[in-house]
Amino acid sequence: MAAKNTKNEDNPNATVGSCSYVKVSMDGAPYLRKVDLKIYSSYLDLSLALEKMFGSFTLGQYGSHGVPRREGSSESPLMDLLNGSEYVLTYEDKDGDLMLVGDVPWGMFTGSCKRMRIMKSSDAIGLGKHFVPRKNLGILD
Amino acid sequence: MQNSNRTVYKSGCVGRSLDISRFNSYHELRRELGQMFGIEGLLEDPQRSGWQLVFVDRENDVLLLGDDPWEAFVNSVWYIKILSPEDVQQLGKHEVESYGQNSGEKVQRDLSGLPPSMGSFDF
Repeated sequence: MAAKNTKNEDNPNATVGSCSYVKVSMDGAPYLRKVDLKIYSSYLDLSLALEKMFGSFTLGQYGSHGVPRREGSSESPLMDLLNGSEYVLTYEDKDGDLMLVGDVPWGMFTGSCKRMRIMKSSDAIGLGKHFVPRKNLGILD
Repeated sequence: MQNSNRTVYKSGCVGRSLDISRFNSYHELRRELGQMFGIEGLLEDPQRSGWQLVFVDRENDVLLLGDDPWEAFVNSVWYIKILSPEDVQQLGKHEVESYGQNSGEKVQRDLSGLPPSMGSFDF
């Protein structure tokens, strides 16, 4: 059953109970998707699902349906897709910060992830894992 | 729910309105929309038909219809749009091109820039 959306005083967007559905956007894709983080048990699981959902939106880059995977560069198909591509996978945490997916243990991630964004690397400035978007890209509204 | 009427758009067609509280599932909604717009059978299997149902929520995001649990969808849907395979292609193309030009602005939320053939998201 769907969790009820109940507002609380501090944050009108907060939900009580186990609302684990988060939006996933991809820069340039025609629409967003929603995933239930509860049903995945690892970053690998999640990346497989996201690859299925969004792989077709990068057809232009790879030129064939079903986006061929790169040779064993990581255990995550989505990370393979993103490595060396123009995208990075980010999320908005419960503090409203834009973070790179993959740094924290899985359980910690699912507890704090409010929304995900497959983002164009060119809009992520900074080296390594801590970067600041060039502009407010809307995810923090 | 106070006003449960929701608008449905399809480019090239007159807008329709339906009472979302009449339905209990996505399946029922898809079937009704197919009948309303004379595209029976095309909305049930998007993978095969290429027709997509999307909706705009109260945060002004465009989402693919069907991912959320039904109740969550009903609580968040603002309006619905039916996209033909051509519409989907056009929309994706526009997003990619605009993204390059706008360099980082929230294109996905800025639906007013859609080509005229898409019909109008803004009003």
